[in-house]
Amino acid sequence: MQPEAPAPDRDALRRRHERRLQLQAPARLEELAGLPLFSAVPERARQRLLEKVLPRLRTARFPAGEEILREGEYSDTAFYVMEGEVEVVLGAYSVAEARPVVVRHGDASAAVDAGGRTWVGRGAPPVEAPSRKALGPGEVFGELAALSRYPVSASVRARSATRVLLLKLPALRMLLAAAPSFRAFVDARYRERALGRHLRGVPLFAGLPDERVAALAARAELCSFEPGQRIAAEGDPARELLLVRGGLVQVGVAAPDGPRVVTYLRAGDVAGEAGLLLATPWPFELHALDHVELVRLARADVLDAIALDPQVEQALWDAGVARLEQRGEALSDPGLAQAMDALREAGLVHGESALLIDLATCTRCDACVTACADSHDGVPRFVRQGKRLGRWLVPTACHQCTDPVCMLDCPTGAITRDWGALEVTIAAASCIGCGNCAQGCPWGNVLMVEAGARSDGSAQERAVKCDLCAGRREGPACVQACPHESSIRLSARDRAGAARAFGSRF
Amino acid sequence: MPHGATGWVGLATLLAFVAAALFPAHRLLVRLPDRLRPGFRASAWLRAHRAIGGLALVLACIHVGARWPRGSTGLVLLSLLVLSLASAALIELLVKQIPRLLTERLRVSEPAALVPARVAQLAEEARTLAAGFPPAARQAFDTGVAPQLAALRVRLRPPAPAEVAAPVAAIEAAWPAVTDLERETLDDLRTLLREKLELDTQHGLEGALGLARLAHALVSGALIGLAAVHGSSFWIY
Repeated sequence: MQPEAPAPDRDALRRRHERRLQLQAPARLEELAGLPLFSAVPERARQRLLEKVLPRLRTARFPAGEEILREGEYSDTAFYVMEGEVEVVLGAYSVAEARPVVVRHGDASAAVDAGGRTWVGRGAPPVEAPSRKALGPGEVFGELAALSRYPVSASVRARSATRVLLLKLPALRMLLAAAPSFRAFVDARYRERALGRHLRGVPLFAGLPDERVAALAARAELCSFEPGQRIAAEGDPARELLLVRGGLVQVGVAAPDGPRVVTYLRAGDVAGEAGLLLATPWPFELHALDHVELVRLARADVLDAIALDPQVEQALWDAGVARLEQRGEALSDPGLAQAMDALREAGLVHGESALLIDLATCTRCDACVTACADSHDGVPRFVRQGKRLGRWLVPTACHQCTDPVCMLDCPTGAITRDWGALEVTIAAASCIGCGNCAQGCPWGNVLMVEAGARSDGSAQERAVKCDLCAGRREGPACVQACPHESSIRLSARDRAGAARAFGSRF
Repeated sequence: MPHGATGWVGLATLLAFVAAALFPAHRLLVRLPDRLRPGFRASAWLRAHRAIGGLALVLACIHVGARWPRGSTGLVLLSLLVLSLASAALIELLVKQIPRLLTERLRVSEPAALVPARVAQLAEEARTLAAGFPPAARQAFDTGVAPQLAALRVRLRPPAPAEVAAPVAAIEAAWPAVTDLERETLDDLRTLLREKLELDTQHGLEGALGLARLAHALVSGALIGLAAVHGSSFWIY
């Protein structure tokens, strides 16, 4: 049994955040132009790029010993060392220390590590012993976590007085697009540090021996696509298996009355199983809906890797047949394709478990809102108001996004998602009420509520959002409390669920 | 102890009524700790409520032997039973029809608690729009539109297009010469008025359902109370 964790000092966390902000300053154009980081950009494009990214760049000075990044936290920033030296510590926290004690229902959710420090981040994979590495001027860190939205895999501290350039994700993407050599550097680092782990995450390759996965990783091609860009066209030769590293891919098919959406692919999903087995042309059209990062695995390499493994081959057949069945459904049922389109328009396609209310049966009794409030110390986590999708209401309730952008700007790591869990939770005790998550949520699904007073007497706010009533035996109270079964939870991954919900009732 | 089979059936009827009356308790059960909370969904409770209510009705018929009741107590009990059934049937009807009406015929879908604030906001927005009207148009606004926006009212049917168009047309008619910009202002006013009338309708329909539920609860409560008095009088005397 884990020891009861004392509540973190919210004022101390707020002071840490404010101190972080004080350490930062806007970047200056004349200073940036001389940095080797931008020398990779062709000279004619450099000035234009710098002017574009300037608003998204800041510099920060860290005194020796100051922590810059913490293992397990989420970050949307890459760091470029301008002056001084930093130390990268991999496995600074044991798993027991790194994993927070998750106390549900708005109570304190934090753990204290062996050094007495409050840990508010998310756990990291186990590491046998801490390993350390020093990085000096001209080195980059944090770029993989920012691009992939995976938790930061190592802690970084300033070894001496250090000055770093902070590149927010949009600036990082612009730089990657403009500087091929920087792109190659980031890709090489990804291949070296993360690709093997990501390939292991694909059920198809989970049971393969290490050497085969390593061989696949070595030969994989990494590619990026801008929003709206076509990834594959229907009828093109299908000679590869595509693994989505990040972003959202729309899978469509051409119908006599125009293109129809079959499904969406997100981080960890694969496409191209049918082509891999049958060597037929692409039966789908793939489009990037946002910035998409893909791993392209050549057909011959995949077939080499899975050779002699009948289980993997069977899994591949099953996945391919299922995908072709989806294609058939999309062609035969225009309503389903329309529903899939609507899912994207309402942002539900990002959700792992979004709340929907069937207005045609909802009597507006607000039993769902009352039940939510009753399960969360009297403060409801959603508002029964929002966008309408035909007869469905999409209330202002967290969709539990696959790629939760609310996590990125949280200065205290109060927003977490446990490994394998659907719910993204905000630890009440660690939230300092900065409102970054509420501003960052594209659907306004994070609510700011009053939370008493600060030690200086000023009003304290805190962020709250739907947490799927985490830990509640029967699941979300809103769904349980609806007497007319009007409230449902829908995952964009659950295509059959979407068809059930929208197919006949859209 | 109850007298004979009729008495036992009467007791079973009373217990069935009491069990059916426990339906609203499902809202309170949400607050219980995990281990004590029954895992049923509210929809299952509602199905059980209907089934037990139906069973109670059958038992009541068996209890009285399908005869016309004797005495004033019997008559009052029968009246309450009929009223309870009628209010339940009305709720079933409203639960089917009102969401459909609200969804298909109205564009608004405001949580009930926020409706008064939204109505006040609409009235304020309309006043702001009317501030720049010429005197004759302003008078038409004051007499035709402002009273409709003034306070939340009970409406049971969605606004007809003419109900929205006519008051604004009267303002337009009182206007000496309407420019394109002013026509846009009048369009905005029409949108505000439509939303307000729709909110009135939402308020009225939701209120009707609430009233039907209240009536069912009161009548059923009275029925159970009187049935308990009736049963205990046989028991005591």
